[in-house]
Amino acid sequence: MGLLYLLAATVNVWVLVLVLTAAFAFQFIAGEPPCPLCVMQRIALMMCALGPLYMLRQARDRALTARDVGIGSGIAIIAALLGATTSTRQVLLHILPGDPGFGTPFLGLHLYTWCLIAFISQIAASGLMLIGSAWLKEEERVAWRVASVTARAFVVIVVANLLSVIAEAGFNWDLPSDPVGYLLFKK
Amino acid sequence: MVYALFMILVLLTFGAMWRGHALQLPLFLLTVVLVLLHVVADMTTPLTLSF
Repeated sequence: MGLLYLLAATVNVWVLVLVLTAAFAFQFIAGEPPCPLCVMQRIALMMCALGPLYMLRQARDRALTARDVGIGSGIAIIAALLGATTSTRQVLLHILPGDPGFGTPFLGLHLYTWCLIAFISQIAASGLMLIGSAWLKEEERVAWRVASVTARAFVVIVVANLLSVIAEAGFNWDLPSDPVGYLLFKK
Repeated sequence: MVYALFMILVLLTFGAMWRGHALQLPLFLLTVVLVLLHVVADMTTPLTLSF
């Protein structure tokens, strides 16, 4: 069961990293810099990843315990609730009939709608992990070498987003509501 | 810059977490509170400020 938890936590982080990478790719391929609410959703996705990363970290030196699963899932659920609030806010801003929405849709849905689905899925996944901890054998330590690679991937995507948002905001405190370029490189 | 600050807080929280530092959960909660305050501020300002 411990191995299953580490596998689930690793997959969880990689899914979030891939979602962030896809959003990043969308930003450059479609040429659409993210709006303030989009950036907030990205930050919430990063915060969601802290939950499963906590579990991976705790399992590095000793066996994973139900307490670790509880704290990790709690972190992910709180972050996902924060993200879902932001996504819902953006969905509601564009819910009126005739509103084209913000940005280019992907598979028929806008990115903020996909984000809402991602946050709800994260809450469901964390809930399942909490229930599953009833069967966790706490004495079973598993060597999980993928954890450090997963952590590095997380750091890379967060740093990439950090540089991107600095370029987008320039020396301003906030982003423009409808950004069209990177203010740091504008005269 | 406010978003860069949030991302730096996420990185700091992760750093504390990976080193097993006692500040890992307080840092996470601080990030949650600051992000929540920013979202609430956005929700309570005129629609022209957010998309």
